[in-house]
Amino acid sequence: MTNAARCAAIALFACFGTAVACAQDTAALVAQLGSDEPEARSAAYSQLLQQHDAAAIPLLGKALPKFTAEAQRLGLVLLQQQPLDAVRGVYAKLATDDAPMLRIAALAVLARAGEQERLQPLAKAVAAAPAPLRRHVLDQLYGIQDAAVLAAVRGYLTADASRAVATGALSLLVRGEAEPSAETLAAARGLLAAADGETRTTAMAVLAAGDAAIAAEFAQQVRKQPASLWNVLPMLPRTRPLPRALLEAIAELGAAAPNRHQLTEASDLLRGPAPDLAIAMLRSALGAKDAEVQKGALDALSALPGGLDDKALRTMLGSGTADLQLVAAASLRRRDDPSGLVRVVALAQLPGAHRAEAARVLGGFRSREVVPPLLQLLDDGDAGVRVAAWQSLGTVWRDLFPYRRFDFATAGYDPNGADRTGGLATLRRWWDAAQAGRAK
Amino acid sequence: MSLPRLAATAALLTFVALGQQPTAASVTEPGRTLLRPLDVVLGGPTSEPQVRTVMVVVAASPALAAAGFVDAFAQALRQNAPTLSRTKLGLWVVGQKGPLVAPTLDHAQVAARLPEGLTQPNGEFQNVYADLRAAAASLAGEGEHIVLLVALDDGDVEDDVEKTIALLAKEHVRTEVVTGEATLADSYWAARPFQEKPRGTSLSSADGAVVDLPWGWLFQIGSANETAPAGFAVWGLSRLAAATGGRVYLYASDAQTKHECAPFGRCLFCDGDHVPQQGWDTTKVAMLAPLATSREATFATLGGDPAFRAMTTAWRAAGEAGLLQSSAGIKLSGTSAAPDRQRPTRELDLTEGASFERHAKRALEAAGKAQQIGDELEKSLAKVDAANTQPRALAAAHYTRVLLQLTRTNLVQFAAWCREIAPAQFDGDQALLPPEVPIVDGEQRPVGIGVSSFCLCHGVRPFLDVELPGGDAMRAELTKLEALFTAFEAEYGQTQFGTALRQNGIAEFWLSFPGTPPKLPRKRQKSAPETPTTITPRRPPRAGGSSTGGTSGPTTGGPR
Repeated sequence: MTNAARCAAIALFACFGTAVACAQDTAALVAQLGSDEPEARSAAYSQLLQQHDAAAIPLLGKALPKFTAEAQRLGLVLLQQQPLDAVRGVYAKLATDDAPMLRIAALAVLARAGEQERLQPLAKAVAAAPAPLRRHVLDQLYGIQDAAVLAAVRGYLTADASRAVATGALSLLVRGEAEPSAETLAAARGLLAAADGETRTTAMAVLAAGDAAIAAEFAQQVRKQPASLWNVLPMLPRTRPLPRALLEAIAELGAAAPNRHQLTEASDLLRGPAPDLAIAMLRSALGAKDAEVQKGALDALSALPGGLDDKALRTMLGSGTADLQLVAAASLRRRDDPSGLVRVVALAQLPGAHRAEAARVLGGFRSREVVPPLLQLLDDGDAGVRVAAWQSLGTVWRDLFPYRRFDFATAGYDPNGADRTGGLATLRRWWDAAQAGRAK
Repeated sequence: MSLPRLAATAALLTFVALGQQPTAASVTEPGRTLLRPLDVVLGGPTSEPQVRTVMVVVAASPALAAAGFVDAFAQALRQNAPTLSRTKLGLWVVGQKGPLVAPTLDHAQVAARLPEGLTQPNGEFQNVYADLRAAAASLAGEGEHIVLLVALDDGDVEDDVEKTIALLAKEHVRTEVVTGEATLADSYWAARPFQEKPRGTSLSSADGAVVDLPWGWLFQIGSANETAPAGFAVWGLSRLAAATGGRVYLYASDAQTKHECAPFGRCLFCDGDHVPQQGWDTTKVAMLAPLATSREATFATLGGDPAFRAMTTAWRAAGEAGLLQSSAGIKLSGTSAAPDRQRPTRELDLTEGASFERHAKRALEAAGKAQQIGDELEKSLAKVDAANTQPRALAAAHYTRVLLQLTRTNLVQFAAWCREIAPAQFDGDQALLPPEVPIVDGEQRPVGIGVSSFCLCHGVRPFLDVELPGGDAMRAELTKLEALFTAFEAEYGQTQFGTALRQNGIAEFWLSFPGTPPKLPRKRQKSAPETPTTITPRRPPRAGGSSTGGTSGPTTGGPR
């Protein structure tokens, strides 16, 4: 055997050996996932999650029915990571398993994938699930809107339901029903006497639209405990009117929202029925210490008619952080006022974390003035900036030159490429020719 | 201040000073919800219960089913229970013989049977006027008699409006109307004269008795008349309310009031994130409302209006020049006007085939006509005395002036496209720099020219940065257009006319190539076993937009 052949054989054996070792690892990890020791289970779960190995699928399919309930839940999470086509067969088998958790999880996945015939057995399995499993059952049912399944979920709303089960079931019902049904409202009413405060607050949120007294009590409750509002805000209906007093309470608390997401949620709830309250709340949030909350407030205000006047926006252009200035410029642009463009061009040339956003905002302007700074940003040291500038340039050129056709791949420019010189030169050449043609 | 703006402002002020005929604004309430009209009508004028009979006449439709009418009705009953204690309520479903619930003090019965009346929301045309007459005639008993018509979709099926008014007057019945918003001088049915309709009716969906705004402009995809919200209901319903002492309440869903830049074509200047700066000025919108008088009286008023006459003359000339596909349908004589049949307009035939030079020559001839007609219209409008014209007629005339220049601009662009761009696409020696690639691949030969549109929602000025065929000549036309557009928007931007203008566009042209037709299965016809029975014609789907209907003064809501 020549040296070359020997080396090739060694390499091949090494690969084979590695493959065998990996397969053993996966099998061992799946077996370890079924351990009675929580730490061993957890370690196996973390590794399998990281490996994301398709070889685990059939192994999990075989092993899960023998695992404890806790291990089954971990195994189900691992299966949900995998592409549906790869795991459909496993789910089909688990759909008839004796273990209720596996059966429900499998039926739910298949029903969401379009297998309507799974809904009826799913509803039966949900209704029959033992009480200790119910909170985990609810985790599997997201996206299911079938009336029979929701009726089974509604059956969980008993007087002795735990907080997790009661709030989880209500949440599913609110999301699954276009309008809370009479049965859901009756079940929620039954929870008003629950011992747990969060359960009561959640039930009040579901009932607030149709009952002024409950709405008033709910408003009082969230004023006493502002943190409780954020958990239940998604439960408040968007399609039925809420009493003004409740909306005022939400606006008051929204002005001190702890993060951008919650501010936006409150704004989305208020903007339809009470745009005046939404505007007042968001204007107040402009003074928040959290920069993200400030930005969220500005973004939301700029989308509300009457939310921001041009004077306020132009003032913001000259003050505040770069992020706020970019939001102000973009807001003015959306209102057909290009006065922020000069500031955005200046910001695009200053160092800072805002440059990618500056590149994106430049692309909104659809003006020839943005092209030179965008071409410059295509050579930025930050890949995120280059990608944003590349996307913006494509949009701007297509809209400014509607009678030309572009295939940007032919430019030879890759924002993630190490050597961008050639591509940049090509793009500049085209731009200079287009400008010269205009000058004729 | 520009001349058009001076004239328009003077006209508005004079109009107010001299008193006015009833317009749709006199009877249209602000707001776009269902609950408020129900609250107002069922609640009555005072906090004391009144002896009344209210017949709720409902035209079932998919829009009404989706709008939550049943809930709103139940809520209105609850909120007004004390004042309703002496009111008999009845329920009548359009298309069914007799009331579903005869007027009764048992309101719960009405509420309980209302869903039944809406269970068959159908897409067929409904003649609400016939049912209004029957419902009104059925009312008896003491106290005031009111018919509350809830018809989101069916006011355009006209059936002898004046006869209906006469009967309602005779029966002393006040008509309150809840309906969808019309579009400005809606030309939808005028463009479809052969649409099947219920026997004995005509289709008329405009906010006024007359379609008083030219439509069907060359190179415009669709017609702004069919999409720009009017701020008011279809004329027949406004007329009914005005003639019987009632009110009109408009309804629109949130989706319908959401701004959309380009109902036709595309917007070059945003990613669908446009937030138009200001809402409608409801005072001006009211001033530009159509007359709520009879059709005959409307023609009489418009016939003597100099701005209307100038616009109609320009409209006719533009049709004869092939600049738009519609004729005014109005005959002017002396100081009067009368309905006229739709006359055929000239077909310029600019997009069939690939004879680019011939198309370019015709386009430039037509552009010359557009200039000439526009200049004549402008001269006529300069002589108009603000004291002698309806503000709406003046707005429509100025709108026509802008559209003539827009059409000229598009024709100049088209001619340049035919000469510069279209032939070059077949030039195999095109030296294109990357990332630009040829528009036409391969050896296909074009069979015609396609047209689409870039909307004017952001104004004309941004187009000066866009590379359009025609170079300096095109930029000169765009500059003229910009001046007219800006002047018009300064006066009418926050009204239904401004909205309509912005829904027009700068045209875009492209070559069309023969496609490969799909292989269709052979249809073997058989004879029918029996004669098919007549069915009520099905209403074609329309995308409806709406304004937000604020209170007087600048609104916080915005137009589409």
